[in-house]
Amino acid sequence: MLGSRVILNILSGDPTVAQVSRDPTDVFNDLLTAFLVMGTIVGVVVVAYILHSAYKYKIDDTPAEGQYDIDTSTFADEDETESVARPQLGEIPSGVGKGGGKKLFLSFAISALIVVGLIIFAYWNLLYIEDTPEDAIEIGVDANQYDYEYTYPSGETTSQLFIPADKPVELNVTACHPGECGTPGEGDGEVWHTWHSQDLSAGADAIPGQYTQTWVQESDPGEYRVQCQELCGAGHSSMNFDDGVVVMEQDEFQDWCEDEECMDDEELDNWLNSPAEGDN
Amino acid sequence: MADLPPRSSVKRWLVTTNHKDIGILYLITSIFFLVVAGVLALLIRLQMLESGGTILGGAEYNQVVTAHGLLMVFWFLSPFAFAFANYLVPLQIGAKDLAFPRLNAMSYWLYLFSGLALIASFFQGGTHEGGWTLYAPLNVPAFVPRVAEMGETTAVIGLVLFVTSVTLGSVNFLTTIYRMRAEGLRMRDIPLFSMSILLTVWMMLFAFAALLAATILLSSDHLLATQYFTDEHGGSMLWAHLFWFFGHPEVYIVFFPALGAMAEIIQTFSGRRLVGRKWFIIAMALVAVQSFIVWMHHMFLTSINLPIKTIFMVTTVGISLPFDLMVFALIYTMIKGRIRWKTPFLFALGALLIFILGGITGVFLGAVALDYQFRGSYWVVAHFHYVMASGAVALIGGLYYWYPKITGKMYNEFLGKVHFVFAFIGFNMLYFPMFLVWETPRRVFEFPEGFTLWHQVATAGAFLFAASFLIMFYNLFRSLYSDRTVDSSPWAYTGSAEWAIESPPPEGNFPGRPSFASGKLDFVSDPATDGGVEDGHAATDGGVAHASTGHDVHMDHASWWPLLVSLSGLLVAVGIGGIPASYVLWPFAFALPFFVAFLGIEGARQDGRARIHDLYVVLSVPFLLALLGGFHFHHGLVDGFAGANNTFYLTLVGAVLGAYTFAGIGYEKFNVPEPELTEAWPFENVTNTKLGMWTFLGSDIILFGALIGSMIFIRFQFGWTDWWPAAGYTDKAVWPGLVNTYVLLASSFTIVLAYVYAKRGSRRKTLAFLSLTFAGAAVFLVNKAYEWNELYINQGWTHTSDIMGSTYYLTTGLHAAHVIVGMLILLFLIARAYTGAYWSDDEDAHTVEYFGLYWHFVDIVWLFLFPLFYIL
Repeated sequence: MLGSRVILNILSGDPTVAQVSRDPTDVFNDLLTAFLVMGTIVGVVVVAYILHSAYKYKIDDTPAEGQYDIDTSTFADEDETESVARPQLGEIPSGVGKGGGKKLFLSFAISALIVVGLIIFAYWNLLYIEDTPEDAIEIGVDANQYDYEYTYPSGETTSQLFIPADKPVELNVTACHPGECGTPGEGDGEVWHTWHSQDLSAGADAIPGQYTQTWVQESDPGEYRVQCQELCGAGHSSMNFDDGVVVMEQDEFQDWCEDEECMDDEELDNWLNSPAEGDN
Repeated sequence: MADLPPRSSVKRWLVTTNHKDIGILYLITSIFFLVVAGVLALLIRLQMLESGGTILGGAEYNQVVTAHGLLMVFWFLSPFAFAFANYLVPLQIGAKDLAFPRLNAMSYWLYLFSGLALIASFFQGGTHEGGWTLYAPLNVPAFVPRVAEMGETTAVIGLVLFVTSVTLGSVNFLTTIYRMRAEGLRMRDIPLFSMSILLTVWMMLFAFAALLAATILLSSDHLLATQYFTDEHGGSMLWAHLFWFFGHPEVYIVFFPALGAMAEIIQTFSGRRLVGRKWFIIAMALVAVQSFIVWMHHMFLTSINLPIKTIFMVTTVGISLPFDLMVFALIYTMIKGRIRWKTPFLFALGALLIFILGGITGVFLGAVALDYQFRGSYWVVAHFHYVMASGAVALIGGLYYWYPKITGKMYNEFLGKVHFVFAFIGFNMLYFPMFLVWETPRRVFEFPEGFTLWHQVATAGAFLFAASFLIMFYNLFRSLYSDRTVDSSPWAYTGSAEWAIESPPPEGNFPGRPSFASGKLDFVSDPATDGGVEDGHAATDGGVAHASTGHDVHMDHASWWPLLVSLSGLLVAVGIGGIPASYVLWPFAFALPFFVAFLGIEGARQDGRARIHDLYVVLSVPFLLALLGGFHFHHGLVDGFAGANNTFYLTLVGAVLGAYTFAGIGYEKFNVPEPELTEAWPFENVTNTKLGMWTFLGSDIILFGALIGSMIFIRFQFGWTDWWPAAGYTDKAVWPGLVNTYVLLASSFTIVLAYVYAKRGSRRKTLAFLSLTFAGAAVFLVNKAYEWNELYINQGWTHTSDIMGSTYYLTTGLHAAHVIVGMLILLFLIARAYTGAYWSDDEDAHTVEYFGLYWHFVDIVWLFLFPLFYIL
């Protein structure tokens, strides 16, 4: 939980440099780290500065006799010597007096730099995540009210997603296939879902009549949670599966796939034995 | 009808059109909806106490989540802001009232009744269950549990009523702010709150028109069984585009007034003019424009392609820049300030802190690869509550700030501060844990066990936050009866005009005509005006102002019609959801002859009986009989009426009441003189009504644009050239459309001639050309009926046959509805012209011109529909 890897990375001082081949989770964690660090620094500095200023320039606000606020005439002397524009009743508020302008633009420039930096960094990572590895095999995901069905290249279907460790898998996600969404009002058709795995940092909307792609890759064998993240009806809350994705060691997956005939044997061999795609 | 009863009388609040009264009504009503939506929020938090839920089932939880979102966003946040806008904008810019007071009252009643319709939907089997975003196709009857079908429809129709209210309000505020500023007050000089409202209504005008289009399509899918959102060629995506094209500007629509209030409060309590005021305004304007090109960041997980994602990432992250500037401006205003930590200041400061956190976490969501992970999670929930509720917190500050102005009494400062402390702690206890357990999916009450503790903390925070409001209610209520009276300005360093008049402000607002001609605010006594002010220049520097004694005798303030018109909307809204598709249009058809009859009856009452009125009443009878004949053909007269359910009759009553009240409001003599000597740049040479018509048509352009865009969007997905062949039309007849094009163009010409002859004072020719225009419209409709009959009955190609039929009949049908509305107005104009209006008075002739604008617009829309639906 809690993007725990991010926090561990920060604590150990371990640089989150791009590995030779990065899982989507690594990409997400890199990005989250960068944004969290930047966001926290900016947030703390700005909030601290606000509180500091609000406190520093606080004056004794004891109301004037019979009034609810201070008597401004007690500052008459000060007003003559300083250049700050004080609001006056019934004024046309053009001209702001001196001060603040330069600082305003300096701060604006700094924030612009930060924002542009974040955009570039985010874009760079986006390109990586959008580029599905070439050696990925495609598995179809059909989201229904309220479960998922996975279709392997052979046509074999399962209710959990079984994948080998360290191998990219492209998911082709939909709610109902084009031409199969049926006639409305006759009980068929399907609503909008999302296939989402926080654990694997991957997700795609499952939209009726359309396909949406994403890809997953995970190095640690185990069970990973999958859930629907778009409100899809009364059963939406329970449309989650703690063991929705099962990542297996590669030889284990090979046995499983051969048993289930999930794909052509030769294709399977080629896929599992192909070298990992280099960093792009 | 002219005079208002005293405020102690109930009648006063039903008939008032005064902007201050309506502001108070908005305030109380929006707080009522806050409480309702707040209780729903507490139900959500109770449900989240443990994974798997505690008190609600899946469907109930979805309803609660949906209604909470809808009520908070639509029926609390914006109307709460517009309570202040109603009360303060005219005061701040030096106007006596809004440009169209009756329209303003109608906005209010439509707002109240639309909210009541939404609440009523709970009791009609259940309200909408698809979240406030109403994603398709979960939002159409095919996917709705049968028991909740009626309630779901009522919720959608409630939304349509609300959008209508907002559109009227936008037109009203734009016209007021542009045309009715005090002499010498330039646009750039209006107070920041008014400026924020101006930009808000600009966004509202266009964004809500897109929502209107979306909800009209959705209503049609519900009521008439069209197939927009079940269509597999992009129906789901169409909803997402339409909704978010509205939905993202809506975020700023909700937040801008709060920003304006924050700017005013921080300015006053820092005792310093806003630093970089000009840049602050420019930044706001930039956001208002940019808000329309960020919407697809809500759809990063859909199939939109990488270049588009990239563009929207840049616009989204980029929109934080103007906000950075605004936040810095607010911060630097405090430097060298004389800051008093009064309750309004604390709330504004708290809101600023909350907003900064909400803003920073929003930038995370703009980065597409992060959004892939965050979308649909509690990160989003936490983020937008930090942003939206910071708006609410700022406006609560506004409530404390302006409370003395509105009531003339000072609240209890100590209790105000206690409220702030509890609210601020409660707020952060409620929403900050959501960032920590962000991996919880949104709108879901099952989550990993490890998150339970933080969700429980959030629930505790929710109750603390809610309880803090009880302190406020107690404080504000008790203070009404305290002896802490205030004079014009209880605060030091106020600047804007509302603080220069007594608290509460008198009926006529100002002790004379407000003017900034001398460089600062003066109240001038013009011999020409009839305000009844004796003294010349009432100096305002000391904050002492003289009340205007009498009210303006030439200005009307009271009318029953806005309430009654809106009431007809409520009856229709709660009834129509239960009507079967084949009955649904009949109540409105039956209302038409009643409208004609009422035009005659009300016309005779108001303008003196004339032959035209008798004619209308007489003609309404065969009209009604003809419709009954049509009904007989359709359902069988006896069986049809016997078989119709109660909701049919409820809707029928609503529609007929609508016919009566529209006739009534049309004829009512309600005088709102346009103020002279105002600052009206850049619209000096346009009257209020004309500007109002322009802005209304502006929103109508978006409405039709969205409808046409929807057809084009789906047709592209379908395959452009396969479109008509798939519907069975390889060779669709062009000539009915072509004939209609010429007929409509000709009628545009005749309405211009009617205007010309009205200006020349020719009764006969004015009447003749108005009637010719009416005849042109009638020919258009008859030709259309002939065409539809051929397609619909003879060829069996209906609006439910396929998506082509849905888009064709609905889009051209909405245009036909515009033609029919035009014809009804023409009937009214003809009756009025018959008894002497328009041609006998040069000023009055403009009414024909304004109608002409509408009529030209209807023609121009047809010029787009004809090629799109007949030729291409």
